[in-house]
Amino acid sequence: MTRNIAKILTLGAALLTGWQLSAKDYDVQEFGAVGDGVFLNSCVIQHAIDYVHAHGGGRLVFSPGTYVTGSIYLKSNVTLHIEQGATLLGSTNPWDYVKDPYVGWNAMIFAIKQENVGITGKGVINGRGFTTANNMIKYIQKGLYSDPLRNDRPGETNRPENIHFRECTHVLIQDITLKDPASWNQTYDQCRNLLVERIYVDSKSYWNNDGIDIVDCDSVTIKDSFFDAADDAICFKSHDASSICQNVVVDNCTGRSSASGLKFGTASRGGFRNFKITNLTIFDTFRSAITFAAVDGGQIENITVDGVRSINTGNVFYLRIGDRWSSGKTPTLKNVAIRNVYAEVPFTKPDAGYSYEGPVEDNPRNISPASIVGLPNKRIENITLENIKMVYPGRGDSLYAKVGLAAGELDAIPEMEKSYPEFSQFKELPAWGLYVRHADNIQLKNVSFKAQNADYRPAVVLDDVNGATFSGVAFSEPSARKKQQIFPYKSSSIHVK
Amino acid sequence: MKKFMLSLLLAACALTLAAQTEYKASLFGCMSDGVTLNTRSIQTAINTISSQGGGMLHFYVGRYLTGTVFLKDNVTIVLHEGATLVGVPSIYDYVAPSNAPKGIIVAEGQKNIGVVGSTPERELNTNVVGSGIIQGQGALLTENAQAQLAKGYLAKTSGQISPALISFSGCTGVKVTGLMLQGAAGDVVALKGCTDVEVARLLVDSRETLGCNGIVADGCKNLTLTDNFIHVSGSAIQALQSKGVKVKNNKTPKGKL
Repeated sequence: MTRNIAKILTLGAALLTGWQLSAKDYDVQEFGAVGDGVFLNSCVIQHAIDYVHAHGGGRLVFSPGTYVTGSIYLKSNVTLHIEQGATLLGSTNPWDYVKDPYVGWNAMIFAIKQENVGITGKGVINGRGFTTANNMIKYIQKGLYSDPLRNDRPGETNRPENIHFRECTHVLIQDITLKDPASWNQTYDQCRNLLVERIYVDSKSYWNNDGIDIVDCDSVTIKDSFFDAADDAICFKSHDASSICQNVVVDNCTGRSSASGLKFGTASRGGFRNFKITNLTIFDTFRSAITFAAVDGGQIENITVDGVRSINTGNVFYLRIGDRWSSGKTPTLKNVAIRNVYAEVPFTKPDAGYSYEGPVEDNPRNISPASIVGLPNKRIENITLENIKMVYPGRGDSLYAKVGLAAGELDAIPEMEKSYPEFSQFKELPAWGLYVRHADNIQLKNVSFKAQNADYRPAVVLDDVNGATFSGVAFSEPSARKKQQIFPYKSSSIHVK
Repeated sequence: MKKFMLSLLLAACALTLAAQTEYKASLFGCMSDGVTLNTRSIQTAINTISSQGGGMLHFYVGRYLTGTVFLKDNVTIVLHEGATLVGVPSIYDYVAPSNAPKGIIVAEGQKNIGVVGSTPERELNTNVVGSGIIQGQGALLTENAQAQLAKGYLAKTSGQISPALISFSGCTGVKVTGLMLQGAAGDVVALKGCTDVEVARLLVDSRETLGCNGIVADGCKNLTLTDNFIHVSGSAIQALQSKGVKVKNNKTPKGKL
């Protein structure tokens, strides 16, 4: 009898131990990590990750302190938990980082082909990228590091990101603050089941500082997060022509950027489908609040953006088909709905004063309109714009820059199919609110265009548009009572209700 | 006159060539503050020098903290007087070359490598003794490793916890001369299966841990051990299964060996 009780107790203890193992916390300091802001912990952290991985998984906990590290590789079933008050501080020595030969990128925290991995906790990951990038330049100039120094900076794949995950499943990124990478901030490439929530991103320490890059991933949720980035804030990409970025929810996020706020592309080889973006706030952003770029042969379809506040942002939306690196594929951009938007476009530079301001370019031009621009034989289809109020500064000055409504002027607007897609790429455009070219079936419902000052241009120009419906569309422009605000050209089936 | 000009030109060329093979550690960002962990910077230096045909990597006065670095073909590390390579007291920063213990400076299967206390010219003239230092911080490192063992975070594989200062395996043309070697956690100089080895004019003081041997050669060929002063807690010299071993004028505190 006693023996049986002992057996049961032992069994219970074994079960309990087993359960504890699967959720066990390990203190990284117990492995010898030092949080003094000086000691380089790369080898210690790597050993600790390997150990936790080999012993059933768990959380590797960083208690308050400042832990310097170079490149480390996260393994399956290990979560880095960075407590409030703890910082994972990137080494400023470029040699302390690895450019991973498989992914072709440099990063502080890698995870490649792993499952159940995460980074959690209210602590900070700070790449100190400005210093690292500039240290790297010194070595390149000495001939010790091979890099063409295009634009007088190291290539973005040579500079360390904070996070680079590739082909991982079940990824959790929660609560952390991500600061100052030397390149993109965090990349998730070909990952499945990714949840990003409650993160704070301050990413404007060097060129190409995106906020977050989701590349060819499937089943992604990004919510309740804040992104302040020098380059695109929330960015979806498709690097692989045989992959696609799909099934994505973005909810309750705020972005600030010296490029675009919410961006699909530029790399768009495979494409993007089935996205639902809700409750998005974009402010002080140099380029567009929302950009869709189908320029590399990929498909963009079934995307809803519902609920946007775009304040002090250079452009509201830009939808573009181009033919940059399509290599025979036909890019498509269709079935996109943008709903419930309030947007204010300023006359002044929206990102003035932020670190790594966007480059002033494509001048002379007056304030650019929101645009939907396909190619003559690759058309943008089925776009719905509903419950939208856009406030523009007006002040388009025809002496500064002018594209009038004469056929010759409209036809002279270049197609630029090979160019980098940017809302300002055509320089001056003939509308102050919306310019649509080479597109079919465009629906505007309850859309209000307001110019705060007079502009020499009409609000809307349609060029080579087959099928457009304007219902409940209102225009407001000082001293423009009789002005024709919708100007169709070479277009058919245009209905104004 | 022509001859003179020619010889001048040749001398200039030789000087340029020589200059190309001399590298200062600071070129690669090595820091002499005793705090910055230089492992990857030193490794980058070695890789770069070796890939450029070889040469000397010079460390001048200062304390250079490092974990394991792998020496490569035709690279010699020169530790000038006042320069100290300091081993980081964290066991996970050490790696073992195949068939040999972990170490601070290690190599496997490399040719024409060295760790020396001075440039070869100066050494020829003056027979430099005990110039630059390799300091293993053996007591601290062992304490760290023992703690990791006790927690079970470090596997109990033999040899894992006691890095040597220098550990070479399968190398040919090895020179370890003119240095002070101090505070190894394991053996001071470990040589496995190396050929054409010169170990000379070392001042060895390594007593922080028990059973620390001085120079341990195993399966080596053409090994010369001369003019070394060896003060260790274990045995001064062990030459196991080695051929062509010349041992001359080595001393310990107890007298000549």
